[in-house]
Amino acid sequence: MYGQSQFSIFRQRLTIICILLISFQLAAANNHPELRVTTSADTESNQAASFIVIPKDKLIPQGISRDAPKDLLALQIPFIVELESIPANELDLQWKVVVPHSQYGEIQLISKFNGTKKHTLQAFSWQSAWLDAKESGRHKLVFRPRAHRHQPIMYKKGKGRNNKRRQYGGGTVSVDKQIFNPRLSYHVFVDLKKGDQIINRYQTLIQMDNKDMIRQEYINHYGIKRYGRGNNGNLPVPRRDEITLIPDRPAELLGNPLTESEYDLIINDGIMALATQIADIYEKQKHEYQNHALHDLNNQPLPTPQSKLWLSGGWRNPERNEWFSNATNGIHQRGGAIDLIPNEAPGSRRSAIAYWVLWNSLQAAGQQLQAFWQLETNGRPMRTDEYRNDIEPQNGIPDAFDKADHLHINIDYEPK
Amino acid sequence: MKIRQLTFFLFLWPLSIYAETGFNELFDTELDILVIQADRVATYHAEDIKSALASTQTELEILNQTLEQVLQQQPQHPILWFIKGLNYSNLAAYHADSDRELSLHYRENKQQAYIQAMMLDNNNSPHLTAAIYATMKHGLPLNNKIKALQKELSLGGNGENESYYWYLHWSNINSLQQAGRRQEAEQALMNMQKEMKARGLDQSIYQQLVSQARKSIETPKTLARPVTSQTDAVETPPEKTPAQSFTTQILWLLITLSVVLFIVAIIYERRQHKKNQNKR
Repeated sequence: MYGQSQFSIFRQRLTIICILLISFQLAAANNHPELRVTTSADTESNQAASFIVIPKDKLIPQGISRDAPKDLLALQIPFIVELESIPANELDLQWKVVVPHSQYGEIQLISKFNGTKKHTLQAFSWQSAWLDAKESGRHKLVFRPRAHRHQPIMYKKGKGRNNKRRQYGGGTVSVDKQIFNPRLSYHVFVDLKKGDQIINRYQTLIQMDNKDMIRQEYINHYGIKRYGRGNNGNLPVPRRDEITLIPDRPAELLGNPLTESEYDLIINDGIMALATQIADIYEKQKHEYQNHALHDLNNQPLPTPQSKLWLSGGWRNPERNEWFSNATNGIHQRGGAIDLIPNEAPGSRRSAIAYWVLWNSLQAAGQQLQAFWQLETNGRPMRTDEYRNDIEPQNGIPDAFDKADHLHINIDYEPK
Repeated sequence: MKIRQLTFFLFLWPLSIYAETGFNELFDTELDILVIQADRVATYHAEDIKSALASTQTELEILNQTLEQVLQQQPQHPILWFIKGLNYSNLAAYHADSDRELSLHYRENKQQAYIQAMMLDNNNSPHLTAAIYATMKHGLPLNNKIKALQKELSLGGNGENESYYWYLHWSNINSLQQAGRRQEAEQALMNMQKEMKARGLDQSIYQQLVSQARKSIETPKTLARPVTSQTDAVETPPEKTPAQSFTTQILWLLITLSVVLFIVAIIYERRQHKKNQNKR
């Protein structure tokens, strides 16, 4: 009994020691005090050892918000990984770069070191020869990431029958999904050897952070050919400071927090203010109808809806947009549009009345909203006659409100 | 009619080539026959067309004839039946203001074509998509509407976000309740919950929709919302399903028995009380 207890204490201590050792190793590897890394012309991106891959053959605008200054993305700068201190002459050193997924590699080496490439099913790696003191600039490794392109080659809505991907369809609702929005990364190692003995190993990880993954999605969609009719991709790339944390949803609204994206980040080009404004005018309109009821087309008073509005959509990252929508340049990607649903069973009379009240509240607000709105059903806007006709169901409510499955509203990008 | 057709081909054909709304894109299909005509029908369905009224009518009727001819050769093609129904829907909308009766006639034709498409979809390809079912469900008789709704649900819905899908579940439950199919509504609610749990969303914002859907089942019939459409009214739901009436009968029987037992107990108590008094 006593022996077992002693063994248990010993096991606990051993575990703690192991954890501490691993933590120290990780800390040492992550802090890479001996390596200095340059990955991006953007200061914030560089500090995070993050990057975007900019194609050589495209001039891509940046600045996506309505009032953002527009300019062109800077050219790709090469990655530079260098030892902080020049190694002593008696030491040899060897560089190694590992690209953890074969699909994202190779690298384009700029340093003039001899080396060998190795392809496996999962990964790509490159390793230099042992570099002695005669090799000039051996303390510095310079390389570029491989060009990254949109997959598939055309923009085509991905979601199809049974929620399965359509033939040649693109997009994903996930983050870090191979071929669509992978988190590209490069592990760089340098070994220092004295005689036959390796005396030090330093390593660093150059890896896209979430903001740069989002920016890369926009780069990949710029200029992309659209399958079918419509414009090719032409949305500018957001700057890092245009990508922010997700604000709290306005209290008067139910549903999603302005985005369903899995990045936990958002581009908010005025949608928060717009959502707040709409929730407010909808509540006021309901209050007004409580005193003076809305009448149907047969002049019968209608009950005032009690339900709130449900925020069903806001900002979409381009890959999510491509999964759900044919709109290559849809305003949801600019962080300038939201979708709203009355919190009622769709297709019910209550839902139709709520859409009617919402519509009237927007029409009454008119130009003060500085926005564009439309009721949509099944991927299309309502026709004018549907706001007039009461064909099916013939229930005293215009068909547009019976059929609507959401209200789309976006800030006005071309105010008159 | 030949002259009208000739007019169409001479003056309107170029328009049809440059139709704005692609059928295949709007309905997620891979249709490879009658693509130009299908695009044109989809354009009338999805957009305000600003052309002379007479030419619109001519084009819609010619499209109708063309579809009829092709359907004679391929009568088992579910998507062609859907396009035919969609074109009837366009004709119904076109005549809504000018000729109410004709509009209603086209609407009935549309419903028949949609029902035919749904029937053929069980055993024939190319199959209908979620986007097609989402379009067809509007204005069908209630039981057919429920079929379309459930089919759309099984195909993953046609929304642009997660919310649409869970609201579709609620719509299904609500429609079943309206049709007086309460047990099915309860089953549908359970399915919704199960699916949410399986997808790890049982603690998510969508859980609110489950509660609301449950409430709509629990709402007593007298407070239930009125039937929403004329077409819904055509198919009057049965007053009570056999299971419901059986439960109600048992409930009444139990209440009656309880009252009778209560009265018997009181009478017995009084008699005992009197007997005791007499003994004293």
